[in-house]
Amino acid sequence: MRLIFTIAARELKTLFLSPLAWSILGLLQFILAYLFLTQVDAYAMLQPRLAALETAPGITDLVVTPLYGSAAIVLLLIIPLLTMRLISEERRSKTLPLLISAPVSNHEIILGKYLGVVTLLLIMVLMISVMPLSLLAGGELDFGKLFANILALTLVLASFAAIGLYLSCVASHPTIAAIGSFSALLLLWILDWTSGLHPGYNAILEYLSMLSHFQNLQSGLIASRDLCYFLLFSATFLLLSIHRLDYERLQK
Amino acid sequence: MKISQRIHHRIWLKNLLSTVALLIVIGLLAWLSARYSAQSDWTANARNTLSEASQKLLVTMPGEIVITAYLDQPALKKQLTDLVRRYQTGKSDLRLVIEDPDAHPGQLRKLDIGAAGAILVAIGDAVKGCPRSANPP
Repeated sequence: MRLIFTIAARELKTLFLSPLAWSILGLLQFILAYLFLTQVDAYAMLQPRLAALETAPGITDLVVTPLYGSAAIVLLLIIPLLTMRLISEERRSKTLPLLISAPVSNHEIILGKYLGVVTLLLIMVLMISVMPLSLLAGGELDFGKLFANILALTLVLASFAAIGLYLSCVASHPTIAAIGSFSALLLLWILDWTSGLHPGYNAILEYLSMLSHFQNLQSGLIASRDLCYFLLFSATFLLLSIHRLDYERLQK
Repeated sequence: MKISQRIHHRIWLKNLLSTVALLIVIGLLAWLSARYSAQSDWTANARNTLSEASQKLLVTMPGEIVITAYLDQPALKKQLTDLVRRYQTGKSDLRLVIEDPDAHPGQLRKLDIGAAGAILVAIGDAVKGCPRSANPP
């Protein structure tokens, strides 16, 4: 257990030693702040018309939910860049045999690396969440819905990281891992676009699509079905990654 | 130990089988989690849940309710599915059928439904329709 944290701390330190983590954090905050301000502006313009409606959507519905939705899409593009190096860089620089032969088990290596990336992602979620909280200066927030959005984003990012880590285990080159995880994530994101054409026809595709589960959680309705989807998704790719390392150790 | 070609092959087969077994177990867990799901509404005033009066009224309605929608826009279909899902948690025999208007021109003519589509609610033999205006405000 202690070794998992040691590997996670080392991974996080490596991320922050290079300019990669810093630049991603800075650019992400800049892009999302721009989107956030646009939403606030649109809300300020809409407000007089909303006041006349009986069950008008509030600031949480019109500003906070779109912010977390955009954050998920922006991070869908960024996370493959963070996870691509995890294992395949070790393989490319020939340090993987060294890591595998060290007195740490494969699940400790995988969980440690995963925890390192997830910690960075949690820092991102925290930084994004400061923006909606700043609205408290001039208005009220629906905290239940805000927490639902934070939970939804955390779970979706953890799933992105898990699939990125697995593809980094499989790919021989970091670039291939990045392209592979980006394509897989995009496909999973848009999988239920066809379900509108044939409702009920492709229930499996609808279940596999990340977007519908993410939006369900974002609406503030926390269903065990959606929580289990994300937990099972992350667990599947972590187990497959451990399996892959075991296989590699035996075959060499 | 020398790893021969045969052992390589056996390890490959074992790995393949255990991966398939893992995926089957995960699939089964996913199916169970989708089948038996509980939910809680975190929004203020429980905006995603029906009011108590609506829930009580829904329980008193006898028989199956079928909502048939003739819609062609995917965004509207999603909105309607989400809305009907709230009612389905209160009444299990409430069904939503979404039909493509272009696929049933004869049916549309018979029911006198315009190009914008319509939503029909059927309780037993009684049918009530709410046509969509062609130019929504």
